[in-house]
Amino acid sequence: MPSSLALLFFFSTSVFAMELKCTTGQIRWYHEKKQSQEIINYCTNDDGTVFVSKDCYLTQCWKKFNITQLALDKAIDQEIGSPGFAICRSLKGVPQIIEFEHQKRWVSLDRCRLKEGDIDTGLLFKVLNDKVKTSR
Amino acid sequence: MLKSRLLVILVAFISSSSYAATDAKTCSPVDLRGEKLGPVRNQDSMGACYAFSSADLLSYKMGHKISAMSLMRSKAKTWYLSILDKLSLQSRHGQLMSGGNEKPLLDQALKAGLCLEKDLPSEDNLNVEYRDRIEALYKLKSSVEKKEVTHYDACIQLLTLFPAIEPNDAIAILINSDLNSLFDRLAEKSCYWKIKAPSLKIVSEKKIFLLDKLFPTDLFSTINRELSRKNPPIIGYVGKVLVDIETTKTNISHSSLIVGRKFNPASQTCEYLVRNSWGRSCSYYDSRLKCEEGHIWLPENILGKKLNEVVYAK
Repeated sequence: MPSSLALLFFFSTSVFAMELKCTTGQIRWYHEKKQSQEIINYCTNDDGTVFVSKDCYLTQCWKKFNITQLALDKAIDQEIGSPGFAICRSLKGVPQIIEFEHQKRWVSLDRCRLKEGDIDTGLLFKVLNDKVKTSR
Repeated sequence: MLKSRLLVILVAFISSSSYAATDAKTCSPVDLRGEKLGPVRNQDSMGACYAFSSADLLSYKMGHKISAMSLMRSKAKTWYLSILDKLSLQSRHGQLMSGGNEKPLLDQALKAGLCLEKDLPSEDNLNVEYRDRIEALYKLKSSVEKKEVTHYDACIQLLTLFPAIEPNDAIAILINSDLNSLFDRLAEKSCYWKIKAPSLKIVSEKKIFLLDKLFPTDLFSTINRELSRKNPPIIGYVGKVLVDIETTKTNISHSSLIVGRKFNPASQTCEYLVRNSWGRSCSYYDSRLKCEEGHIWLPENILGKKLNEVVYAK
């Protein structure tokens, strides 16, 4: 996505303890040897290791999700892959590896596609882990 | 009296018999990240950390991205056969996807030849889990035989798992293979253009659990020696330490490649760079650990408590 088309927003929330930059940009993924792409509003951090759709970020959509410490522990302990993918699927989400343009290079990450919005599986794991810890 | 003296000596021996922490000189900076390895991989729903770390080790040695799935072929076949067994299907969300060992996997791969990631992809299973995709193979064969799906549609489904196969070959294998050999034949065809493996010997060093207090295994000496040789080793360790450095878990084993080290003058500790296989995200990890695009710096005193095994190639 041409960076000139980017609309920039700056947000800072205590949940992330980091500043995310929101933009309108292109994401792409591969399926059956073919590249698919989509333009969406998303937010990311300085090194492009966080991805969350703007609507999910603004509404803190993860607040709606309920998960137990047991389920989080199980996602790590059962070792059937990345814990965030297991959590995503347990929330009826669809995990998908994507690429998005960050500082003039395409970087790879993933997203959990939920009806409430998109969020990368690592961040999903973190916000839910934090939520469980603070609710103790 | 003698017994109590012996006990005191034993306790003193146990408490003194731990290896020394790595000093600043030994912990000279090493960083093996770069083009050979590329970005951190994402193992998605495959219970295959050991296959991803093994594929990373081979990719580093070969300079080509090696398929983790190709290393898992024998395991995948086991899942596939288990899926064919309806009884196993009931309990498939358990042991079927759990881990394995790096050394036999690497030994087998080096003997059989190596397959590129582009020919047999290991990452991104889209909206399903890998085992579901393998299960779908079984159903696909049945559907084609019953003429419920066309060859064209079957081909599209096959190519998502095996993109390197020619469509006609994929359909021929689907029709002509029995269920037991279907997955293996498709994987074999995908990896037709194998890379000849170099002559490598795989070495595994493990902690001997009950005796480790008495005769501690200095796995860090091995790690340091191999890093100094620019030869990244694989470690077997308690993976939960990445998420919580104070975890008391001891029995859950994870596998990653160590791709660097540096001495932290503030803490006077050697830190090791773990290349995990959960993608580039840093959100998973304990906030007290420094993470760089899916690589995590683990201090020796934290890793040491959770380290079980080192595997390297020579």
